[in-house]
Amino acid sequence: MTERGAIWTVARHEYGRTVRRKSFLFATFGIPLLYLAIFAIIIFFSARGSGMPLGYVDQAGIIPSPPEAPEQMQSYPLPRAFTDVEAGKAAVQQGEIVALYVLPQDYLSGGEVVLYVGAQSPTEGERAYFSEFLRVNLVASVEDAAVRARLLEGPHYITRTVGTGRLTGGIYTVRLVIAIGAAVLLYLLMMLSSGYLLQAVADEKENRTIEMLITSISPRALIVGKTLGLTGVALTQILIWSGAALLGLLYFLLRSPASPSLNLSLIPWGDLGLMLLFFIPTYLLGAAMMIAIGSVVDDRRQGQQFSSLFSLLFFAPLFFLTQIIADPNGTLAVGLSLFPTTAFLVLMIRRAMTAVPPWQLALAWGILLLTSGLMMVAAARLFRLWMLRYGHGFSLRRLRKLLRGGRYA
Amino acid sequence: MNPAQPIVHVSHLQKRFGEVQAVADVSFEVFPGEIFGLLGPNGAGKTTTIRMMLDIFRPDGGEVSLFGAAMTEAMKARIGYLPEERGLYKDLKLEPTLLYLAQLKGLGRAEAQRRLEQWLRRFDLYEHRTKKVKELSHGMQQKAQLIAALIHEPELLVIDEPFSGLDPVNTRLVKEIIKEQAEAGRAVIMSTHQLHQVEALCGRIALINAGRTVLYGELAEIKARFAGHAVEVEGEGDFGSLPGLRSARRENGTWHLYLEERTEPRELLRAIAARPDLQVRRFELAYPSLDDIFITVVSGQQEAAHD
Repeated sequence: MTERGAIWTVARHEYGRTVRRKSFLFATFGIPLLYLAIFAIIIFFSARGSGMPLGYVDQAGIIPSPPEAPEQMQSYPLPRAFTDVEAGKAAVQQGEIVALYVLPQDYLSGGEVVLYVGAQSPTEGERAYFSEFLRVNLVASVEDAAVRARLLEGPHYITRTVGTGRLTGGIYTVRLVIAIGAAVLLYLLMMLSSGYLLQAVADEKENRTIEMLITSISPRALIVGKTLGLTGVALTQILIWSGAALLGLLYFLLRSPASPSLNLSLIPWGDLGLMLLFFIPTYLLGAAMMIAIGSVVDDRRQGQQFSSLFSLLFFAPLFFLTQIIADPNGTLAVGLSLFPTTAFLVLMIRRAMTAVPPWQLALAWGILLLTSGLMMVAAARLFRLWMLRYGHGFSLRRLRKLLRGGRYA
Repeated sequence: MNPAQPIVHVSHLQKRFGEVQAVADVSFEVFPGEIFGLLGPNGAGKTTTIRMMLDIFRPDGGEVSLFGAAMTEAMKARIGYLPEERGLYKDLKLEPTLLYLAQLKGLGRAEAQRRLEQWLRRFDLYEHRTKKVKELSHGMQQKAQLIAALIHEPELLVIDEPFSGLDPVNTRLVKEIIKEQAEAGRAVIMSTHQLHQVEALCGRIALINAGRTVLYGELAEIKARFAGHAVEVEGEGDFGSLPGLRSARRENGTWHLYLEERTEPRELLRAIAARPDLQVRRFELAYPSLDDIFITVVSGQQEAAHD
């Protein structure tokens, strides 16, 4: 059998074997369903109104009569006006209105609003609706429609860096969101397939299949085939999750006129190329680490303990997200950009926030490439050294002895 | 001396794991059409030798050649291997597991399917092909593992403890299959502790002890070499009273007569014929069993090591 044939046979086998597992089916279809159920419950309890109107007493005299209805959130009934607080409170007690908002005479200077509730409080949706109702009626007295619209919408900030003229911030925050979204998606791919890889290597060692396999094909064909097949598994899982998320997003966009419209020109297509350039070696680094771990542990459980520690190396930037965004060219951000496991995510975030000097990109890429290459060589060596050493749990002492021995495998 | 070129040539192999010298000096050759027994006590270095032979481990010293050359990836398809410890995916069904292993040996899917059906039927596993491996009994898993070693019709078959977990019926079946493989011109290397099976099947053996080849050659020659100055007799009467005996004992109706140095077996036979009180049904030279030879050599070496 040719090496290529062996690789594809292993890849097909690993893919088919993993996607038929109950745990895979549960994770792939169960997780979107679980999220859907959680969102449905949240929406049901927070956004849903009771159907009854809210009430208000305008002692400050700022809401015109009849009041303006907000253009958005038209599913809520228009709040009822009361002339005195006692009548409003009686309406709350009799269940005619959900709650009573009282705007005192000094509302404009103090901003305080008293809320009277009865047996039930207004939902998040009803509270948001009253805030919108108040804003719309506050600006109703402004005659200039453009000024009125600007007051309601607020400003859109556009920031340009002095040196490069690169656009950052404001509406370009979209770039940051997309960069983080793509990074998280790609990370998910990496961690999923690496996890599968760890499981596959540790399982074959645990059930002694490894001896059968390496007397049929080369260890290299076995490792490459596994990596390809299990990357395919992770891609399948991500495609299904992304598809479910996209459907949810489309549903949200169609149902809610308040949501922002999508503008494809805002997507940083150029950054995607750079993203891939960093992603591939980062992915290989993670995969090599998992092969190395799978090779030296005795069973899957031991492997998972090690791998969760190593995963932290990749996800560390998420702990420092606030600091990186606050100071994208600071020592911490630059340091993490040059560290191989964190370079990818940190650079993508920084690119959305600021202009990253090209030398940093080049240096980070060089370090990443070198580290992933070395890690792959080390993983292949460990795989061969340790693949038949059953019951010899991992220890640094044993590893040093084996590596010193040189020709153990 | 076998005129054919050896399929396996192992010369002065050495392998050390840390402080342990697993294999110190192992040499043997295996020829096409023979069943070769690789024997030794636990921890003698048999499995390590097999693993070096199959390029799973690289030797620290010595030389291995298969089919007249150093091991290559292409050679793997010409070798069938049954490891001592079963290696099948426990959570997969039997049929796809064996199909996968057959395909890794270079068989096309259709051909693998065709051959697999024949083997499953022969091993009485066809009805169990849709079961998960972990649902199969010990013996069934052993037979499945044998199919994986045989399905691609290898020129060299290496089987480590092939009778493990098998009942007498299946043991007989596996023996038949091993003989068939040799008759078809394939070389079979069998490693087992069931020495009566080695006596029944193997023409030549190598006995490894403490990482060294301590016995190597034709089984019949080795037995003759270890044959004591003794005869076995079955019949009526007190054979222990014959002259020229060093000692005699009776076991399960058979007399084991140990002759004095100057006594020849034919003289003893003449003496029996002259005695009307002795009736002979069987008289033959006593050869030690492989068990006896094994114990003699291994325990002798252990004693020497202690001294």
